[in-house]
Amino acid sequence: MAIGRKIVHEPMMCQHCENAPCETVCPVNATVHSEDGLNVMAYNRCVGTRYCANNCPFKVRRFNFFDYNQRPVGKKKIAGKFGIYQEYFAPLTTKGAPDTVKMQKNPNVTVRMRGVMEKCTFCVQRIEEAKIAAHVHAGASNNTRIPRDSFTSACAQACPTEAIVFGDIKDPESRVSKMKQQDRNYRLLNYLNVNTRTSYLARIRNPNPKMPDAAKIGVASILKEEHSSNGEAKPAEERE
Amino acid sequence: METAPTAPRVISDEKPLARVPLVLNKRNFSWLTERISGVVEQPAPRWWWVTFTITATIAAFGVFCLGYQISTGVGTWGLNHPVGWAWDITNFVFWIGIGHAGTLISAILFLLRQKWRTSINRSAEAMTLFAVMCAAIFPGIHVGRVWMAWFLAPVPNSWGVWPNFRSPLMWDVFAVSTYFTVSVLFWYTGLIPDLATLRDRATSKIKKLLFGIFAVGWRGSNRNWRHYEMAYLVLAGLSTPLVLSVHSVVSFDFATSILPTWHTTIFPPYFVAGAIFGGFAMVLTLMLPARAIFKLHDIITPQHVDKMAKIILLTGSFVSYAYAMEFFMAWYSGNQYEKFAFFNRIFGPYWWYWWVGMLFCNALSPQLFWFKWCRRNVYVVYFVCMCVNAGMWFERFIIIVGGLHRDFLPSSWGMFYPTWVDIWTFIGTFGIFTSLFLLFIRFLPMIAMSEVKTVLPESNPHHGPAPGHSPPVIAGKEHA
Repeated sequence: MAIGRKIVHEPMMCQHCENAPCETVCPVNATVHSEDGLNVMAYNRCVGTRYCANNCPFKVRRFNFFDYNQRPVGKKKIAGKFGIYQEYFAPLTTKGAPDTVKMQKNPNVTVRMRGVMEKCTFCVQRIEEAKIAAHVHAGASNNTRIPRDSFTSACAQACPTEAIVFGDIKDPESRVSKMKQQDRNYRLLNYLNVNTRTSYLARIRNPNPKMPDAAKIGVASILKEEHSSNGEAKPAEERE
Repeated sequence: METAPTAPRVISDEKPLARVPLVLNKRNFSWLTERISGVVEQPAPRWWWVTFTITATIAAFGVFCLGYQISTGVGTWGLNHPVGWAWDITNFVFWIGIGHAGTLISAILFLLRQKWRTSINRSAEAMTLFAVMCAAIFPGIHVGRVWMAWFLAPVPNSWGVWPNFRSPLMWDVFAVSTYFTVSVLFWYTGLIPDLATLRDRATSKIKKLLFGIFAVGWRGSNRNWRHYEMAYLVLAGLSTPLVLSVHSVVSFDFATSILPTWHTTIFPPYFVAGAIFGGFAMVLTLMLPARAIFKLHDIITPQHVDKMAKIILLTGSFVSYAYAMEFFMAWYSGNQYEKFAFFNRIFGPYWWYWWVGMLFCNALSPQLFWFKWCRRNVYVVYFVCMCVNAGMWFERFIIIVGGLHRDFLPSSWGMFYPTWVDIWTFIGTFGIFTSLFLLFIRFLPMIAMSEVKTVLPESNPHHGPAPGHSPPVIAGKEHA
């Protein structure tokens, strides 16, 4: 009996774990936790040991293996059909990017140099922008709280189906907090006790019960199935 | 210069249970001095120059590869996501592991009063130093920004930031630097009486000056010997916990992470046993040719080779047991990630590393040493040692890359393939290691003369006059 494979798209950005395995292993304290609950990356402190990327169970960290921003990269044809990758000849090239390339980059986002680790920052530049705007708006008063759901991350903004929701989970009335209260909410690899900030809502499917794999639809493989008295399979509670 | 052996005389106070002598053919002090100093005092033979040129060229090319990688980027290696460490850290652990055998021979066997260590300890300790030097290259240059590697040093700085002492890489910094420092001190302390011997025998002014400086005024007096023995004992006592702790700390790089094959408490003893296992194989790899070339069979006797083979068998069995236990625990745990990771080790894309490297080379080949004829046949011993050297490298590769290339989320899986820069950097470190070892055997006594003399029957004050020319010892200075 063939069980059909079902595919879901699961955007995998930095999960900003509370108990981040990447933070404890960085020898130079380049990746630390902020009071906002973000796992922040200090590019100028990073020496590039790549231990954080190795220890990330989600493998969301990306390393700058070459000088992507200052040297020409990519395949270049020389001598007819013979193609070489320019990044391997970096010392022989001139350093510096053309102005058009520099102008294309977001001025609020640090340009990372060769040898540092980077990852999703939950658009920390937008968070800081919102904080600064809130302080400016507050003026002399102490009311510096950012208005609920007033800004969002770039990925959430770009998603055409609004599949990504960003917000303040400490505020119980924010959109993201309400979504996390649903039963469908789950975190990835939580048995590792990493306490990810990012969580996912399980996809609801409505299979025809007569299909052979109907019982397995929407059930994560890590959950064991229990059979109830009337012979139907139902998933057991997820053990944490 | 060999004196004709006299007819064996019964020495009245010889103990009834005679052990196999540690120096064969009833050699005396002066034969020993002549034989070992002769290597240093005579000009280097032609094979030495040929070999040194080859190894130095390889080392130079290795340094070029390092320069290329540092100037162009870590991407010149085969690393990519998810495999952030491959040959760099495999080589680091490989070299550090090799170093541990030397310290075990020098320090632990000294504390255990194993007299047979005396003919191999100098070379083994030198091997340790060179192996640690080769090892220390890798953590330094594998970082993305080598010019900022000093961030790992706990020095006060203008940002008020300390390094992260919770990170195993920081513990590595302390462990390896401590290990290197103590090893250098220990090796140098042991060298002092031999350097004095060379100083006293020196014929040219420059040799006398250099040996004289490094012999720090050794006179061989009672006082000197007392201080020497005490310093040696203290340093041996300091080195002993280092043998066990340094490689445990290196294993913490993996054991304290969360990846399936890495996160296991068996790593500290597994790595330490593996280090001694691989290290002894490297000691024999160096010593068997050296003893054949310089005709040192009377000092590094078949008995020594036999004992080292037994240690290789013992530690190899520890390692094999650890392998079996890892598989058992992966199955017994029921953890699907752990079970898959070990299944992947045997049947995944890197399967032949396991079958050839871990199973055949590490687990099976040393089992030949159960048979005495295998331990006594230098060719079998050499074959097993080469297998073990290779097997230990494969083991570290399987642990590191095997653990990284397929971990929790299948969407992150990715293969690692080495580039020529990876390969030649590693071969370059072999060039550095062998060049340094060749320099060592050329300029320094490769066997600890003063220590081997202590195991000759002649050194016993109640012994009768030794066979052959027996020089009277006056005021601590030997007249050759």
